[in-house]
Parts: sequence; structure tokens; C-alpha cells
Amino acid sequence: MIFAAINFPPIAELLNWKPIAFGGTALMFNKIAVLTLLSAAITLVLFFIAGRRQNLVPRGIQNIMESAVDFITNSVVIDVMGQEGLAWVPWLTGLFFFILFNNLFEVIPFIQMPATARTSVTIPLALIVYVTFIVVGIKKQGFGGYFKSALVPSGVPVALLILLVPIELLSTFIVRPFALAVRLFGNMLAGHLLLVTFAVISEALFVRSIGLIVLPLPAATLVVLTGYEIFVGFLQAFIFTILTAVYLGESSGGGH
Amino acid sequence: MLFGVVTQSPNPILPSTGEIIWSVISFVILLAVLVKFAFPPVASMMAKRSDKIRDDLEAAETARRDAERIAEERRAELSRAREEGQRIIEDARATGEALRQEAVAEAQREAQLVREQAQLQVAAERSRLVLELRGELAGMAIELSTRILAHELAASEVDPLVESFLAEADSE
Repeated sequence: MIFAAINFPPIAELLNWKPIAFGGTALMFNKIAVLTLLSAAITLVLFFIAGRRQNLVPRGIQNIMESAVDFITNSVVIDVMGQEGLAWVPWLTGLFFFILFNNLFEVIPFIQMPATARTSVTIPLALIVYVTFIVVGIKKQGFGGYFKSALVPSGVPVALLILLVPIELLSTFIVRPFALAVRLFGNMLAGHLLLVTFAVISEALFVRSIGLIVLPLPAATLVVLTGYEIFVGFLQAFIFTILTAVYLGESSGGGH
Repeated sequence: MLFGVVTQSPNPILPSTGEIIWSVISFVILLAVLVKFAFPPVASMMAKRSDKIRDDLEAAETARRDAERIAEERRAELSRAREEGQRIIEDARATGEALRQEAVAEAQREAQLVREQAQLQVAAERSRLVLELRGELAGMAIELSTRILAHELAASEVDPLVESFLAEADSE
């Protein structure tokens, strides 16, 4: 049977990249390391270009970056955290662009690997957010005040607290960082595998028999999915950023 | 030992130490440089722009209010000028009417004067003529009586004489 010839690469081959430098050490430098550094560099370069132009009427990169900052300021920070959250705009902008570019590497030709499809990238990011919102909460509300506001919902009968406090503990301090890391990782991994799958099928059909090109569905799906993955890349960066803003807002005393 | 750990994890879902370290380094560098150097110029430009837009809007609002005030003043001035013009026209009309009536009265007076003078002249002329006629008639009467006396005419001849005298006076 003709389809039996399609051999899907082992999943480890799609995700575990060989060392480029420092192989065998803790500082092992591979494609993922290149991509994370690259996304930081691209973000910084874009901001430096946007900041250097200083046109009253923004054009090109300045326009794009300013629109992005405007979007994060109004649709993320002010909507979620209010005016007092404005100090977090640069931080959240950095987070958004870092995740966005790491996501979009999924559809960039010759890169075609979202760095965020690695838990090595999403877990540290989620932990940084986790530590930040706890530190902010303790700083703003005091140690006792923060944990009380985070664990004990106001206006609830005492009897229910026996049930609610463990749930709040679980949801705020255990599920949150886990969900943050896994949501991003899972979405990007799934997208990556989807694109690989359709690329492999399209390639196999094309190579095996030119007659099978009359079945253009896999190739067409690949094109559609690539567009969809760009959308997912933006959406997941936005979700991660807005959830971070929600957590920071709650810690700052805006929640509950 | 840190450098002894296996850095390339075999399970594709598990994180690898090297990748964790590099992604944390990337993110921390990004945040540090962005917050300190790259973000402020962009933010200040945006703030400057929104300030400028706000200022421009305020200036435009002030200009609009000024323009409205000036237009209102113009309207008021125009209506004042119109009233003034109307008043001037009324005055002129009244003055014209007065002048006309005065001229008519003057003309009538003058006409009256001329008429009176003419009547006086006619009367004077008539009395002069009457006097003249009376003088002439007296002269004629004297001449007639003189002729009558001088020629001792018969009573029967007197009548034709008188007749011829009267015919003479008529022809004169």
C-alpha cells in the first residue's frame, strides 16, 4: 500500500535539538537557545528602531511597535489592572513579544520550530510570572494580608472556608503556574506537530507519485494550518500576557 | 554536580537544563534592556504625541470658540449697522418730505405773489386806460362843443356831426 511508505519522524527528533556548543554541560547551547536569544534580540532591535525614529506621525516599524504598546496598554493593562498597573506595561510588553516571536518561529521557513513548544521555555516563564506575582502581592499587601486575600474569599461563611481555602490554595499557587506553562507549551507543540504531520503527508504524496497531486488536500490544509498557527501564535502570546496581568492585578490588591 | 547533569533530555516533554538557562538568560536580558533603554524612548514619544494631540485639540477648541465669538460680534455689528442704515433712510425720507413740502409751499407763495402782482398791474393799467380814455373823451367833448359853437350848425345838422364824431371815436 502506498501510504505505508510514509515514515513519520520520531517525536524526539522534532523537539530535542542537538547541541551547537557546550554540549554535555548545563549550558548546552542548541537551536532553542538560539531562538530564545533571537526573539529577545528581535524585540530589542525593533524597539530601538521604533525609539530612534521619533516621528510625530509614526510609520513602518515605529507604527507597528507603538500600536503593540498601545494595545498592551489599553487592552491588557488598563482593562485588567486599571491605571495603577501602567508601571507594568514595559514588563508585559517584553513578555508578550518574547512569547510572540518564540511562537512565530514555528512558521518561519528554515526555522520552523516554536521555542515555546519546549517546556524548557514555558516553565521558566511561568515560574518567573509566579514568583513575580507572589512577590508583588507580599510587597503590596504584606505577607499575611496577601495570603489572606489570596486564600480566603471575602463574604463566605466560615464553614465553607474548610472547603474553599484548599481549593484556592490549589488554584492560585499550584494550578496557575502549571496551567500557564502547559497551555502555551501544549498549544505550540500541537501546532508544530500538526504542521509537521501535514508537511510529511504532502511531501510523501508528492514524492511517491505525481498522480497523487490530484489529492491536494494535505498541501492545502498545510497552507491553511500555517495561517492558523500564526493566529495561534498571537493568541497564545496574548493569553499568557493577559493572564499575567490578571495575576499581577490581583496581587496588587485589585482582585477579590 | 551542575555540569554533570544530562542536558539533552530523552523525553520530548521534559525540559532540558541548557534550554532553561538560555531561555531565562534571554528573557532577563530582554526585560532588563527593554525596561531600561529600549522602551522609554517609545513610551515618551507616545506620551509626547498624546500631549500634542490634546494640546492641539484644546487649541482648536479655543480657536473655534474665538471664531464663534467673533462671528457673533460680526452678526451683532451687522444688525446694528442695518438698523442704523434704516434709521438714516427714514431720516432722509422725512427730511426729503419736509423739503418737498417747503418747496411746494414756497412755490405756491411765489405763484400767489406773481398772481397778485399781475392783478395789480392789470388794475393799474386799466385805471390808466380809463383815465386816458376819460381825458381823450373830455378832449373830444371839448373839441365837439368847440366845433358846434364855431360853425353854428343847425340843430338838424348837429346829429350827423355827433354821429360822425362818435364814428371817429369808435374807429380810434
